[in-house]
Amino acid sequence: MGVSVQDLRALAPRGSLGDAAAGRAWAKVNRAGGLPATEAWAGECAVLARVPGAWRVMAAFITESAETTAALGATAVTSARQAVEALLRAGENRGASVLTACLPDLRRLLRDAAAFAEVLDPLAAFVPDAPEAASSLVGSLPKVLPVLGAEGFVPWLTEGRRMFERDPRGLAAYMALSDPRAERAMIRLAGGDRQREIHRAGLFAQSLWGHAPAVRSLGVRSGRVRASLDGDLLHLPALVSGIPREHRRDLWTAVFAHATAHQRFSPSERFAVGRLKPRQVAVASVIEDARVEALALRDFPGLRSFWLPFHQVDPVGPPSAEKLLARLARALIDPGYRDADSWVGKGVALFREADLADVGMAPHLGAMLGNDLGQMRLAFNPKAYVVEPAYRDDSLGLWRWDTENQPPDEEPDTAMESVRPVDGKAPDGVDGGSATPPPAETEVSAVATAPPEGAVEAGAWQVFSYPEWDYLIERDRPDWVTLREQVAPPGDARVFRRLIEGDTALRETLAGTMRAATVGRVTRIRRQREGEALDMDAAINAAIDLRRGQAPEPDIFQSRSVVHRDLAIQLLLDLSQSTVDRLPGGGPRVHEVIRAAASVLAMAMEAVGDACAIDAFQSNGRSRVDYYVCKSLAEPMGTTVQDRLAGPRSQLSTRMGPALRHAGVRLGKARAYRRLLLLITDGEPSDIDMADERYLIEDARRAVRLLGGQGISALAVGVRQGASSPALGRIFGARGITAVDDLSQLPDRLLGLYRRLRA
Amino acid sequence: MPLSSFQIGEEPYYRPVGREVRLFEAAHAARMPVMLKGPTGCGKTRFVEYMAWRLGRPLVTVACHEDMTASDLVGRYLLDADGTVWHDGPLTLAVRHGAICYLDEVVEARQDTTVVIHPLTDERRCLPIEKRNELVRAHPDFHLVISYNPHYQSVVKDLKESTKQRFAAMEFHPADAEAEAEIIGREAGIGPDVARLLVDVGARTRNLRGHGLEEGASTRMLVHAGRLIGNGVSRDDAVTMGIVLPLTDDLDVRAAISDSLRAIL
Repeated sequence: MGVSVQDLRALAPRGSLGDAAAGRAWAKVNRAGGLPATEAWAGECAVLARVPGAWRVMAAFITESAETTAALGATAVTSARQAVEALLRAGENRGASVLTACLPDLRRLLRDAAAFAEVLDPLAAFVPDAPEAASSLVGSLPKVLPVLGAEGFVPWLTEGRRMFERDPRGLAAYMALSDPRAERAMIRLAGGDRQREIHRAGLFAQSLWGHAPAVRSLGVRSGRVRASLDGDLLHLPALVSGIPREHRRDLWTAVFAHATAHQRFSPSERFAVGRLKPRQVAVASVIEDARVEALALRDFPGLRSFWLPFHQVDPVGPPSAEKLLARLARALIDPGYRDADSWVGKGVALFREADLADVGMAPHLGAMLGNDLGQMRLAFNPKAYVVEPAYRDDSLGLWRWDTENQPPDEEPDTAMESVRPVDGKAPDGVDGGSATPPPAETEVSAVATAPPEGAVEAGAWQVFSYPEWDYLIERDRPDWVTLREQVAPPGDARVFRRLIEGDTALRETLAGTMRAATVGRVTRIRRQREGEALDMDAAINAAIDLRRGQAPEPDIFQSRSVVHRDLAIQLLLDLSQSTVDRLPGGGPRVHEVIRAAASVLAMAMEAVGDACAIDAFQSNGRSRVDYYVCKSLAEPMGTTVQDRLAGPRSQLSTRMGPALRHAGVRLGKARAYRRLLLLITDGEPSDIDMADERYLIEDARRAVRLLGGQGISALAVGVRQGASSPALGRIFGARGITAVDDLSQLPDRLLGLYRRLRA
Repeated sequence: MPLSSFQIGEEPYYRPVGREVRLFEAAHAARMPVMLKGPTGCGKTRFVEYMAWRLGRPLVTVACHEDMTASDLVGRYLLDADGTVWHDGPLTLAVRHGAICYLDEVVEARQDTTVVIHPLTDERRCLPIEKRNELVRAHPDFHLVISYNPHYQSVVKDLKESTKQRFAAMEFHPADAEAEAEIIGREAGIGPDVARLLVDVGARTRNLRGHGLEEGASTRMLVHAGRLIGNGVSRDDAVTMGIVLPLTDDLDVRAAISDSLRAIL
């Protein structure tokens, strides 16, 4: 049965869809897919027409869906229809109209039906949950999709939903892109693994000239879209505009190569702006950029292949000052580029004549050529000017303004700001500059030395930033959690000491347990009565004795044995509010047992010569995880440590993941054959800003996995767990947990854990 | 001559970088024990071979390792059809017959093994063999040389002070660019342009020392890459196989080195 144009027209309100338009639409679909296509398409239109309120959009939908079917096939139309239908049914008529109207954009941005489904199906599913936000989202699609692509869309959507779980207005603002976090999330999801790429670029720069600058990230709110070099500090923007997607991966390498070229070849003393006009400064900066790049290319000719792809300007169109600058830049580096403009030609000629080693070249040529620009009556707006191409820095670091002339788009203070390592919470973005990777964990840094160790005065917080794993989108959220670390303030150790006082039996048993479960290097023991292999020397001596007719020594074997102890243990105590409860049956409070257990363990470990550290943690949302250092590895057990153990109050919540990560970083610095992290907790991870129970569990589980990757075994002791908690089991593995109801159970349970360690 | 198999017949290729030949000759003239210090793959062993050839002495080389016992150096009784027979170890051979004895990577051996050499390194110049109740006085031409990689940082494995102080030391490091290019060209059988390129790559990796790499690429690694290129392997593949992959497992460092190769070309 065929579908006629009349049938189509009937779907739309009378007069809204003319004969000609309907005819064109029908013909288009027919040409593309013949009868089956027209039937499918018409079918979708018919379905939509039955939706209440669809009359508003039918005419537009019929024409647009025709184009869509012709371009991408019928399944794309189904996705579109479902999304429009969902909006209509939710009462979002405007959203439905907007979506229909933006189908041409979607066709341009999403290349195939699969991408259409990838975007519109989740959108359709989203509508019933949050109609208003979904409507805003529709309006943002043309801005969001070019940055994220179809594959980045759902993670970005999920991120927003998670961020504003109980806040519909916030969610709508996110979807409308009026909340800055939306853009930040976009950048993060679009930018690939930005931290990693920057790290790599830093290593690359280091390999070229033996030096890489320290790095600081500029936040989105700064509005900066170009790198900025200030001495040895390279400020990197969150988002660099004007990069074709296929070149994004090489962006940071090009940025770093250019910045280090400046460090290597630009004079250490800045150029004085003096009486130069902004356009002259701009030209001089272009010349200086070209000069240092040319010098760099002498050392490393292959750098051209890194920089050239970003020079995209063409010698066409009406000349503006900005375009001419970009064209000059390209002419100076691109040997295959031809530009007929006389100003560009003059610039190239002057550059070629000059001596590259002359550091005065740039201001000199800049003054001359900038003056020419002025004569050509080409307007130049320094406030709106953005350096092209995108990998180059904004040249602020080249110039020195005296008090009369301020830099065109930046206060000198901000431009000259220096960073101190791990000094406090960064206002926006992250402080880099001197943290050693693992890059997934700590601040963005190019190539660096280790941060200053330990020694924080009591009362002073050291602040760290950690990612968190979202199991729904299967990605880390970088810089999601703020953790602050402090040496534990001293308290009254009697709080828990009474639990262990006089219980020397417990201590001895524990010490015996530990000695029994030795963990260490394997060494050879010669001259054994039994063993796996012959001890050659002893065996030969025995043979000699035999020949001589004497009784041989029977100890002619050698065996392997684990003799040396080499174990470092980090105890991590959960001191959250729930530990204030008493054990069942009116026994001591859980936190007292936890602290006592830590104390006993540490003393026993010291007795057998193992190194042991004790830390504690509690959390109040992701922006505040408090981490207390009670005992460092080398410190002896004593009253000071015990007082510190008693210091932190039991309060707040249990966000395990960041605490595990941080403890892992601390333990990672220990030189030991085996490193073990032992969490003593009363229950499952939870926190006030997280309703999804599974989220924190999965994050802790991931933290444990990462620790395993670093060679650190993580185990847990659950206090007040009758049977093993499923949550702890998921985090640490069934073999990694043990439950303790009473201190007296500690020795047995610990022996079990140690045995598993050896396995 | 008992050590004829240890004599070096052909001149080994060695390109001097400084005064090392003269210095070694002076130490040899005094039979002063010499310690060659330097990272792996920068010519220590090749130098000793060269000097042995140049001085016309046989060379006994021992590669030291953790399982080495004193018997491995000094000798042991072995059983054969006629009974027990004493076999001199490499050190004893050299001591008896006047060869240069080269203990390579001496730090690898346990310290209770290395003390065996003490009596040889002072005025006594003798080697006691308790098992035979024999005191072997060193041949006048006997000369002890050891190699030692100071960058191998392990608290457990280091030479005792009492051992170190018995030696005169010479330091080896990768040659300057020109010399290194010559060496690579010669050893790998490739032209000077490719050799210089490899030297450049090596320099890039050395810049990363302490920034993701323990050591930069040694000259030996560059020679490996050169040999691969000589056998028709592409430059990228040769650098990857001979330099990048053995040096590090860190993906970021590997990417940085590959990028730096691209920057050179």
